[in-house]
Amino acid sequence: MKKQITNLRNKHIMIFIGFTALAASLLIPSDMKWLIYIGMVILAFGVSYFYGTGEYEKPDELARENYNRATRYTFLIAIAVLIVLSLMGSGAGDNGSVYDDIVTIPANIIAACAFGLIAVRSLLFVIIDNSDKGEEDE
Amino acid sequence: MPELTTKLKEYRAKTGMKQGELAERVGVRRETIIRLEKGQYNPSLKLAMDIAKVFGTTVEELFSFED
Repeated sequence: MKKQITNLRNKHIMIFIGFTALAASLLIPSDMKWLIYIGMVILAFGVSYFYGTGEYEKPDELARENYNRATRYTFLIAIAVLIVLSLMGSGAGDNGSVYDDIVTIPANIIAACAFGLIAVRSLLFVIIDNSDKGEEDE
Repeated sequence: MPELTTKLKEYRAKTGMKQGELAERVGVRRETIIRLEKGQYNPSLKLAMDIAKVFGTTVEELFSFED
């Protein structure tokens, strides 16, 4: 029997869903922390499904090119995010203290940004890689 | 800018080969063959040669650039 091979785009849709869930769970209020664990479990299932049990398409030269483009765009978004984070801190130091320049950005925000960027990269890959299905002859 | 034109679809129809079949033979995804047939993707020299080999023709016969 021929083994079921998971489409590369489906793999990235799964990564997008998993990491979006994880990033979102990090931004919720502290009295709902259990959602973080649900996010972790979703991610763990997704990763183990694709890397452990399932077989998926190997990226070919077009996929690699599209992935590089998605990474480039994500890098630009990451720079924009860093600018926003630095602006968040720029207004903090006006008390004349030596600690004025030290700005505390919660770790969950930074982690959510990092996971969010991974999700964005997969989403961009899916968008860039999307071919017109109507042209297929099978 | 020169535009890529290809006779890939023509050759594939002549041999009755499906996109998935060709993709499997040259080791790429079907999406890549779809893009190639539409002229939306510039293949690497290796891929172009592999495809030409499958159809028993030359790269120049299969792919060309038009101004």
